[in-house]
Amino acid sequence: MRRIIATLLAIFLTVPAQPAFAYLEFGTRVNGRQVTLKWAQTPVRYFVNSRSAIPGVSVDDFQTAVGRAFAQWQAVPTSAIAYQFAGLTAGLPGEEDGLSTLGFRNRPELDRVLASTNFLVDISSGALLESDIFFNSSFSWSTAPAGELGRFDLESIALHEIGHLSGLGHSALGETELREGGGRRVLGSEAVMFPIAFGAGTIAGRTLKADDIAGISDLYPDGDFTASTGSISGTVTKDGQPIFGAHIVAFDPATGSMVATFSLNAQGQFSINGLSPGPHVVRVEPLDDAEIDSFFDASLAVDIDFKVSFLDRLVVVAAGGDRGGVTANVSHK
Amino acid sequence: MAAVLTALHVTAARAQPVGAVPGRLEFDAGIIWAGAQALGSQEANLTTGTGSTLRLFSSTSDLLAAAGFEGRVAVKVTRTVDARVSMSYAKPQLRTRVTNDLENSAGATLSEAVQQYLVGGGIDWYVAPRKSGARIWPFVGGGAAYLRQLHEGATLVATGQSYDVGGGVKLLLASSTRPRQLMRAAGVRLDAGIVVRTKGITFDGHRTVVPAAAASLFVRF
Repeated sequence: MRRIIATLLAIFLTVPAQPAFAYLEFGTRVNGRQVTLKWAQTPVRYFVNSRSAIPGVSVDDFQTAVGRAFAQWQAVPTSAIAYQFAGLTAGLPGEEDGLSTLGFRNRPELDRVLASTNFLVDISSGALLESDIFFNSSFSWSTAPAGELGRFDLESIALHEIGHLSGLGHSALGETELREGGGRRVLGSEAVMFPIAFGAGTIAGRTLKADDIAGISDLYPDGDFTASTGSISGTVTKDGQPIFGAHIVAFDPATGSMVATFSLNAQGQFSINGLSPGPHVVRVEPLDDAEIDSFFDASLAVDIDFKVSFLDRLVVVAAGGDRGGVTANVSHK
Repeated sequence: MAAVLTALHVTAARAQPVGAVPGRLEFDAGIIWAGAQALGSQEANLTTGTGSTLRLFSSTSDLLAAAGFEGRVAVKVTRTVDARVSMSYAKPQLRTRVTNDLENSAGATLSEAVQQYLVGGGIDWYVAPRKSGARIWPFVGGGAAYLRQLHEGATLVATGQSYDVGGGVKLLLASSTRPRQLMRAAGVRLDAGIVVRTKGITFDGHRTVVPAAAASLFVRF
């Protein structure tokens, strides 16, 4: 079996994976075609490193916090993904041992990386074989129910990383501002999979949002997800030419929920799945609230030279159907 | 209709027995109008680090006022009461206005055309007995209808109920009591009232109340 390890540095760093032509999912090319990375079998068995204790967080605390995060993903009613705690292990996250392991590692040189997820992928099928998550113990962590001042919430960060472990990439559904001295501060986000974490002390990232739920349900659909939701697909153009990397948000004016994706190829094509039936507002914006390489390979030319705009009509999504042929024209800044 | 009125005009002034209603069956066709239906507002919110919200943009949606067509068939039940069935069609615009965008101050107004069908029935009660030679028949009425709304492209259907109460007048333009005259009366019907809609296209699940009016031509047999 041919294998590769693709490392996905989450939260602050890049996602050097080829985006699949689909939702916010990871993909790879198998025999010349794009394949979405996902687990072939569930439940996904995970282990916790037996030495994952740092000041303020015991192994039990760690296991309980990540367990809550796994449980939240598993509780999504329209997704079939399931996880199973398989026990403690002496193995460290990042070791290729066939076990998906979560634990702390001290990586002070990664001074902007709270946590990271890496994968072992069967490149003949795109199936995930192993996925480890390390939490950088050079930061201060908390598992307190209400959070702790100056400490990052382990459950919130685990929720994000487990999204990666399950096959989800980053979402751009958020707004940031540049910090003096570098980096960005999150003003607000509406996806756990937004690549930049909230600051220390908050637990605002503990809840999955509509965008996360649509993503995991699209990867592992369950029940009547496919029949009860719909999609919008089309292209984004500027001056009549397709653009790559535009961020497209579908907003449901009945519920206020937002689900988003990108135009993911040279033809400017996009597809947003998992939308509730009904009319939607489509908003197109440049990818300017996070580092582009948090979403795409740095070698890809992402167009961010256009103004935020709305499609000039409501787009009606039917249950089980695709509202295709939508063309969003954007203009230069 | 013009031919009907002309044919009946010569007998319009003929005396009728007091309380006699010309004809038992009425056919009616005309235009209707229903006022705008507010569908509510929603914010596109982001969650902040404190758990509060940051507004990305705001939206306000309405089903706009629209005119359409309606046909009715009524049957005389008693001297003062008609029972009717009706069907109507209109094509209102569903409009969403986007404002207060965090990054785009221009905002936008987006819309789609909705095809709206109503099939139902009701009662009209003539508030004053129709007297001999009366030219104006005031009435009050009410009814219920099945509401079917199709979004643009007929890809999505919303159904519900519609209840109407109101009143109006029938202006008799011509009538006849000749025994062999098939058409007994013709005129104009004017309605005004309110419509209560449940379900159908509604963003907040609440009942909505909109004004409504109609004008039509009728013939009675």
